[in-house]
Amino acid sequence: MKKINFPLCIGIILLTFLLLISVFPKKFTDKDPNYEQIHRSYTVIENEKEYPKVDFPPWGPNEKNIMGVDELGRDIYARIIYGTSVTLKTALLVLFLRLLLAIPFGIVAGVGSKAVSTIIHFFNTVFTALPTLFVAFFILNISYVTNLEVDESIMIFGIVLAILGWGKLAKQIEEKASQIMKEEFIEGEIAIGKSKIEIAIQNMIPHLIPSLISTLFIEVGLIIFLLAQLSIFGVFVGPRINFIKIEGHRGWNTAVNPEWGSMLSRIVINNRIGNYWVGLYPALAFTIGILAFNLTGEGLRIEFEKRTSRVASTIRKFGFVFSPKVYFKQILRFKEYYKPVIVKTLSILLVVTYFNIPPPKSLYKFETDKAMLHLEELTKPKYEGRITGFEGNYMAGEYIIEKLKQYGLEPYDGENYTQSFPGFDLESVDNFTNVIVDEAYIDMVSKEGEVSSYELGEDFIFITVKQDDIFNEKILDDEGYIRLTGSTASLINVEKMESSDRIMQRIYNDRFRARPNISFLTLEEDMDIILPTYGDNVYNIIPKGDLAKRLNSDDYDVELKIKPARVPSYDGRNILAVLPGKDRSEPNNRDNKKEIIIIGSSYDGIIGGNTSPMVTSKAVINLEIARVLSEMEEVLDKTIVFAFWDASWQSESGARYYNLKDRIFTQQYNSIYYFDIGTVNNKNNMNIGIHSPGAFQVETYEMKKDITKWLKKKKIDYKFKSSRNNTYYDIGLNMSLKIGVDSGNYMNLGTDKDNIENISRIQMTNMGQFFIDLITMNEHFK
Amino acid sequence: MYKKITIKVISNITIFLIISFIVILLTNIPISLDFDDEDGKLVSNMNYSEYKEDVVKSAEILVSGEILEYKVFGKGKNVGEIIKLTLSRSMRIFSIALLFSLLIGIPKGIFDSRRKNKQSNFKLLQTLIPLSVPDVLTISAVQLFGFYLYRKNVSILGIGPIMHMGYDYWSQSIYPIIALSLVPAAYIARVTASSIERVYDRDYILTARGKGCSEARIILNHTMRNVLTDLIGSFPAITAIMFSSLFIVERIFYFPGVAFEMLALYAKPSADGSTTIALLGLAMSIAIIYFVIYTLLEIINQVLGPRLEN
Repeated sequence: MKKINFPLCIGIILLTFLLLISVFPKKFTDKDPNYEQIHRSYTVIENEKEYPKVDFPPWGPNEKNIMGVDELGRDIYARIIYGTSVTLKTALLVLFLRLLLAIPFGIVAGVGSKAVSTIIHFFNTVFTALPTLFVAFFILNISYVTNLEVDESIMIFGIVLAILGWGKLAKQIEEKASQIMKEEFIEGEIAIGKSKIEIAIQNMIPHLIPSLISTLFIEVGLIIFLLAQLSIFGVFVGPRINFIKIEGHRGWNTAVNPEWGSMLSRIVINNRIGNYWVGLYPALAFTIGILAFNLTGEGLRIEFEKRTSRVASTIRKFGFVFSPKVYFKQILRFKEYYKPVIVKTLSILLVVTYFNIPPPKSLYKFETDKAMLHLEELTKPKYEGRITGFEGNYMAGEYIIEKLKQYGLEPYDGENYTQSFPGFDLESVDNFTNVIVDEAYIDMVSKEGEVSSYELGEDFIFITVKQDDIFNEKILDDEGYIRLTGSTASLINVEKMESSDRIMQRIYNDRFRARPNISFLTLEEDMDIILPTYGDNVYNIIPKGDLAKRLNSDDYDVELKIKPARVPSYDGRNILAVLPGKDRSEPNNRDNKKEIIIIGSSYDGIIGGNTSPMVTSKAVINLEIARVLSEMEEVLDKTIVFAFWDASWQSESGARYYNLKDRIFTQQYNSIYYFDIGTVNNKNNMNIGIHSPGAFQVETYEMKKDITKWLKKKKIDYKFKSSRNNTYYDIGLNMSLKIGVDSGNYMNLGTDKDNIENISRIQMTNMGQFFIDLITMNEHFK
Repeated sequence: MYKKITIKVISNITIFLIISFIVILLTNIPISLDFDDEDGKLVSNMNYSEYKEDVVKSAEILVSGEILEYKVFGKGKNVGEIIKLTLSRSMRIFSIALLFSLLIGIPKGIFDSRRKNKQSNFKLLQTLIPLSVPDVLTISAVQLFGFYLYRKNVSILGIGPIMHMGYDYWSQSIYPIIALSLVPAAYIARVTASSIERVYDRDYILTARGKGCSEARIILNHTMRNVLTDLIGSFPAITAIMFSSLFIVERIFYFPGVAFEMLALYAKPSADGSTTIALLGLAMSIAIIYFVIYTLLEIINQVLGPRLEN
């Protein structure tokens, strides 16, 4: 009876199975691996009575979720299925990179280099099991790695684990190589006069390959083993989100993307409280993965030891088929070998064309030149920096409305384009309203009587001014100035702050506490920052340059002279215009699920006088998208709303008002998608934030994948990272999905780098085109 | 032979020094280290001069031995006390588990080697499958078993019910010990079995059998010597496996040993940097133990190996 190679058979079956799962995950599950079930309800029968019951995740295996759900309510089976490809990819990449190091080193050492052999020995002894775990833990836990996207994260894992672990593989190769070098036929080759390099390439490597292949399979098993161990310490591939289940409790990091390691990492918490399914199934998945590679490897080893193995001869043939030398020889004798030559040439052409496919074309083009015209218009001095409630911003609003009318967009309720909300409030400082200070001076008198004068803008800026003083005419002097005096030794507070973010945080948190009337908040580094001025109970000033230096070095008597600040004269206005879709007039019901897309951007500026083109770019992109979509000939299925939010720099912003007080598009739609446009800066990258809030969740895994594919084909520099734009958060969570794009870096906002020449046209085009393509071409939104 | 041992010791000490250096470098890396692309250059948020100072300071504290007296913020103990406490716990379960795995592994290996008549491929499966199971799975299975018993209020041999995590009573070390010893036991069983099989057809065994020795006597007197050499040879690998398992066992069972303490310190760094020093101390103590054991085993291998073979 012929002996069956059990390990090889079982191993190959398991491997094929894993491969199928990782290539066609959809065939194995119809669930979305990122869909979060918030709760489930069912009835239990006790004492012949039915009781309703509600469960919160994690819950165990049942009919709907055969392996249960994790703490966020995500289906574990679906996550294992979708995670297979990521985990296997990581393991194979580690193997590949280890091979790159191990093969040359191993062979050179095997041929007889003492120095290389010592290097291999060193790595092999130092990075045994424990130290590898230890070092990988410290390196792969830093924020940089844990924030990377999956593909980049896999790369870093590959590099780190390859550098740490290549020694063992190299040692094995070295041993086998030196074994082969001792064989008799090598002596024969030496006798003919071949050099060591020739022997290594021509005689040793062909003999090395079979045993190497079985070693490689076992090595992959070991790498998967290592990945499992690392995950226990919270080290796994892919970005994390901090998940806080109960307000006030410490959150934990959980992975966004499905991957075995990240799932297994939750075993630490869940096993001890009896939620066995959270960790057990991923652990089993790991076992199957390791088993598949180990069995195949061992099976191949057995096969190669036989002299008349078919498997071995098939594998050896591979080398022949793929050898470029053979290919050239076949070309030279074309008449004899025309079949293989044609097949090979065609496959080479196929591969070459695959890698050189031109990027796909968008159906409708975002025209940056037209957008730039809007930008030039809206940054003109007559709009005064578009501070909410002031004349300039009102005019900017009028400009936008006029353009929207020109494009043929409809008012949102049949007659109005604007939604007003209360602006400046005299009584309270809750709203943190923008005000404009036009004129102010500071005189400082030192102990020696030396006087130095400073002027608003060049030497200092106001972060807040006292709101009560603005309308109090009694305190004005003859020239119409408010005069305040004090000494840094007693009445005036001088404080060093780390950053402008910290200053804003501080001012916001301390609004209702007793504070000195005037505070100088000096920044450690002398940076050119521009911040808006707000109404408050006290004066907060950021001094610059010489003034800041003096305040920090000695005590002075200070006199502050201010022209009363100007306050807003208009209410806040959100501008909303509608591009009706096919289903606009139909009812929303079970058979006809209506959907709507809101494209939102803010249109107000940060500070009086400074026009900040980078901030303006948000509204500009939105306007151009409105033009492109309105000029389309075909009518879209979904209704599109263009929203221009006001007051985005105030705590009671326009987007917030829309969300909390007056939501215009709600119940008449089944799902609402919100696209948010953030600022453009001087770089070419683009951050994309995708979030599907719990209550109205939609499936995002495939959507994200499609978007990734599209952007990769278009060769756009992108990253999935939550938008830093304030309207993205102010709009709230009352929707099915929000997607925000922005530049991610707001460092240059309002500085001297913030000008029209510096604006990245590529970034602007990418952002605008991204939404246009999404609406006109993407399966999920079309 | 002594020359060989000296070379081994010296090379291991060199490696140890390099490892210490790497440990100092690594433990001082802040968890919040990030890089950003600024105009084509990769800029990090780490202050390099501060990092350098920290590294030099850590090295000084370590070399001068001050580290043992260093007070740790929020712990009310100094580093030496923490090391002593946690290391003694860890080493206790480690050594008992090692003994335990030998007690299970060798008999199982002997037993396995006797089942000869099965197809060899099939037999290979039996050894391959247990060795392919990641230790995480075995460890969590032991814990789940413990959890089940605890829930059902089961007590065994008058002990229990035993909590499946924590370290309030001595009995809570039982599950960690079992979890820690299973994987090495499987490994030891495999080594034993293959080593017995290798000599089983040798002439001197056949002779012994011909003279009428019982099977038990053959195994104990004639094959054990061979088994011992093989086991000693594979001990470095076994300890390496056990050390990495120890980390996982402590983490999953909430057993407050060295590894658990280290992860706790790493996750919550204090502002004064004392936790980093403590982390360094713990990491160094693990490194020392690991390398002492490693070196000792290699020496034993050098000394005992040839003698046993003779």
